[in-house]
Amino acid sequence: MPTIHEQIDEFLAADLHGELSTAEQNALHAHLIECAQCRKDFQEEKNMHKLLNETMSDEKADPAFEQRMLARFRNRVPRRTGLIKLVANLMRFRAVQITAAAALLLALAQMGKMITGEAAAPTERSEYISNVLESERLKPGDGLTRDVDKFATTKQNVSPIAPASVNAPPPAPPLDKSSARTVSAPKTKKAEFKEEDAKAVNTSATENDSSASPEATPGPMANRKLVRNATAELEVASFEEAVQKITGFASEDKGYVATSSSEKQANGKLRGEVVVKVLPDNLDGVSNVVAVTVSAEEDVDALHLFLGSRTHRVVHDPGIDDDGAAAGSADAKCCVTQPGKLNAFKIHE
Amino acid sequence: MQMDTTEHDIYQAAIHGDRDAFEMIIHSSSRNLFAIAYGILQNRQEAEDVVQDTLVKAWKSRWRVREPEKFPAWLSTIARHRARDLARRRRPEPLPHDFESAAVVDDAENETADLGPYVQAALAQLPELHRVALTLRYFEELDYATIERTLGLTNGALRGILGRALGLMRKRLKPALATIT
Repeated sequence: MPTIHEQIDEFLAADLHGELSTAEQNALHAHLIECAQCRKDFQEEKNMHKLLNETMSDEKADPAFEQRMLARFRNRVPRRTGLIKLVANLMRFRAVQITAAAALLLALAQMGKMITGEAAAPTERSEYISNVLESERLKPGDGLTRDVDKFATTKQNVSPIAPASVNAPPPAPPLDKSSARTVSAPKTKKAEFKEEDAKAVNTSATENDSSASPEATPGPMANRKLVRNATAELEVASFEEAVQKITGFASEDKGYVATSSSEKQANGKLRGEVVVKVLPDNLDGVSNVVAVTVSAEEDVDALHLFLGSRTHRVVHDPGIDDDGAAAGSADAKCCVTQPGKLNAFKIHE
Repeated sequence: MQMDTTEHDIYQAAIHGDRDAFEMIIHSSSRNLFAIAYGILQNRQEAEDVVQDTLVKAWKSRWRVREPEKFPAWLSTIARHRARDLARRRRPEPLPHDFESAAVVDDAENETADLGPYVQAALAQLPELHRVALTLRYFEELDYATIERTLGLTNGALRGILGRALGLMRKRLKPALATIT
């Protein structure tokens, strides 16, 4: 530990400045009694202290210094008011800075997409998949193409449902007044289909031409959305049987049942959901249809509207109405009369 | 080195953009900043300009200070940097030609009045931090705790700095000091 003699400059300065503790003061003064050199230094230090006090006090700031500084500061930095002040203060916080940076990046990304002509972010992946599927479909000799041709009895050779939900029993669904046909039959079996893609896409020509000249069909792909959802709420006599039928028809369209679930309700009936995925080509027939209510009396036209040309795929599966009578309708039976295709969905009263 | 709660709150508020709090800091700190700038520049007008620039810069970049306790030292650092920049740009002033023999003052009644230039010259030869600590102590008679907080020093460091500064001054002005009674 250094001695006082070794640290005499620090001790002398601190003593003159009144910063020594009592113990330190006693120790210093004891040392000064013993050490002549330090006593001499002490005397010079006192003179130096006096000299500095007298000379430097003349140079210190005048009494009006603070006010002058404040006035000049106010002049150079005027007060902000209102929104500018709020925004300026908010931008001081790190969290706000990060948020602003993220928003800016997002805006730049969206601007970039607009400039390059890409679709909005949510459909980008769908576009890609659609392009892949379309290119696969257009390959000459491809099984899928042959299958499409086989079903292309009209220009709208499509399958309407993807995905489909099967529920039992359904509430009366709301109708889209702009495009739905509403039937006020006393006993009505309702099916509601919602086409979420409001944009009608004309792909029938593409499908018809595809087997002849695959190269002639790249055009419509640019504006085409792959994923469209149609929802059908059906009341069926047997949930399991309905699922089997749906599975069968999904397979015919080169589709598949993606998910199937059911749960038992309080009334003992099953309520379930079946999600069917089919190729985009088979969805185009429903692109103009938003919602359709099918009744026992007028279901033929309604089903045509809904299903496009493929009404032959509608299944008549008579249920039991409120009066205990068979609920199948003549119109529905007409749908079944077309040969070759049977039992897609049951639409009953 | 401890800062009382009120002082802490004022610095905190100023950091968050409270203009009134910052103006209170101007009131309480501008003299200290002047002493710091003067210690480096030894020119009143330049030191005043440095204080003004320091305050404006501090207000504009106050959000950089994360801990309110460090606000006074941060202010001092800005002032020191600006004063240093200004000092670099100007030519050094020559010492008085008779500095080494700064000698004996004949007039006993005016024994310290003529020593001003010699004191200034001796100060100019000290390291910057020594000069700043000395001016803070002798301009504003600040206690050690305040100087430590202002310059961001420990007590031991400040004691050493002031001890060495006075010791150096004493040695350089030895002939003149001998005349002071």
